[in-house]
Amino acid sequence: MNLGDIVAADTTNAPVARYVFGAIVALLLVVAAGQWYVLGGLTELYLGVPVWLWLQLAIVVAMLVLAWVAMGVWTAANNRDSTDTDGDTEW
Amino acid sequence: MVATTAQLIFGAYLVGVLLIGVYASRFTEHTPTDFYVANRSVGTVVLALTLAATVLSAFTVFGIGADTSGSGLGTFSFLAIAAVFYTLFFSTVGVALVEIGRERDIVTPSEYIRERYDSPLVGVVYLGVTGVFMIALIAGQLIGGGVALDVLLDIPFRPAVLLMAGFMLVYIHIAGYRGVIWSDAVQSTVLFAVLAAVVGYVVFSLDSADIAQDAVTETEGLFDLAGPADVWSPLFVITIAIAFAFGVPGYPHNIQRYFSASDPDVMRKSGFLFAVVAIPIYLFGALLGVWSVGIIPEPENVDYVIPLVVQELLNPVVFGVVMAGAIAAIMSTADSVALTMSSMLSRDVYREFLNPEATERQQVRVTQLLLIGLVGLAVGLALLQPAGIFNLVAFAVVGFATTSAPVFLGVYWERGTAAGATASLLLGPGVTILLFLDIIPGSLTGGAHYGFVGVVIAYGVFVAVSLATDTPAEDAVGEHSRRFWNRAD
Repeated sequence: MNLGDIVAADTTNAPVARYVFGAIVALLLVVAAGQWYVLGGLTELYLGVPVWLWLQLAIVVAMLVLAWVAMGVWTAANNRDSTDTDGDTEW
Repeated sequence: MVATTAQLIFGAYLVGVLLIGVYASRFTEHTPTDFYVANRSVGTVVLALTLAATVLSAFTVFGIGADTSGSGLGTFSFLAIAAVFYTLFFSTVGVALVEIGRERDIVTPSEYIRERYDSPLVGVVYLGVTGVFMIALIAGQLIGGGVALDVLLDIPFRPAVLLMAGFMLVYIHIAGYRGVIWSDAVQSTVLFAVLAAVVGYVVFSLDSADIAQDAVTETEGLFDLAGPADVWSPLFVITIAIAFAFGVPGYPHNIQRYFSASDPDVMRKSGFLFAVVAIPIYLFGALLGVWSVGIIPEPENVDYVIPLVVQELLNPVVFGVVMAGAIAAIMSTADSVALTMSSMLSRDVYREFLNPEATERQQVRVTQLLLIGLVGLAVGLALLQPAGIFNLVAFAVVGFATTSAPVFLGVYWERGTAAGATASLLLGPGVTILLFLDIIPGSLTGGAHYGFVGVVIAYGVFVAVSLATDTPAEDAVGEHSRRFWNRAD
């Protein structure tokens, strides 16, 4: 079971899913904008890449995890059926 | 001799792509559902890779590098942030469209809009407005193709553009949507691998630290967060990221891909996988761009930065592979856009207004004929070169963002009306085009990206006009919309 499923398990069929989903989206926006005020001075280079960019890569990975959790919450709350295949699937 | 080796590799690659198309054509039935959306049978991996190949284009391979070589790494920052938000659109709007497309047998975005708003006129308006941006997007790809062929084969830019357009037409005619997505899967894999290999080579074999130091000496502030010209303010980065976040999932050719998914879960997973593939590719393009400043003198046309730096650094075989990867990205975007545009014209104009009795085979034939006309328009724009690759494609992306309200809000907001959709489709893109052409001064955006302004206007107008007008027929809304929170009440 992944992180998204764990969070989703507590939010299925519950209005709280709305708040969790909304909070994660809001957090993503805050992180997206907020990093600009934190990373500014870190211009030293490591392997030809500025330190701020190395840190930003870590932040983006964290944002992707949050997005995955948000997707899990929304999907579980809406009970989207993942077995609705009609016909053959290519890859 | 050097050129011959690279050309051989390049030629072999194009032949390989063509063979994929020929092979795919054996499975393509000449029915609209198969020709346009591969019978809604696309699985997670292929859907993710075709999304990636479609989104990653001349903009990614040449445009990002060209931009970062002058303005710094903020380009990567906004693209990475936008990519995170793409996943949310793919998993919400995309999933709903998978279901609606399957239930209502819809294969094009304009068809969805026509049925959702119970108005053929809105479908035509959508088609006309998105057509402007689609032609701009194809033209950006053809410019990239012209650059690649110019550097690699020494073919002058104009004939090179025509050659690219010809190859693309032949390929789509043969292959249809199935051939396009199969070759997309190969091409995005090739693109990822070659860019990763080039970046790895620079880091581990050429001492990227020294190269970066040379670049800083050449352009002070190149590696600063705000870039050498202080372009990347927080407001500018967030607003352009938001504009892209609405634009990429709102590409008509991406919406068509939603309709091809075999089930909603495939859509959700492939949307996420797409971001995982796209973010590193954005990074590779951006890094090569800034490092190029320390490797080669700035070319007269910055669109040539990446091909020239690769030619400077790598042996002919790798150079040939990289250029093939570049052409891969360019082709996979251009063919997808052209196929979607022509299929919308065929189904939503030809069949709807000109020949309602058209057989399925006739629709496919008309699609193939329309392709030639569309690509012809894009060739004309590419030869005019009204802007560099980065700016032309960015204009198309934010333009698509301003056309997304009738689809994104239409899917989840039952109150949306045809009048709201029409007003949104005219005002949002209209303001965006006027800002791009500098007819409306850019200073009026208050530091925000002009595309964001267009998006705010498009969505604001859609909501305001919809609230002020009557809703369409209940059946049309009910069958083409979903509640965002289905069971959470």
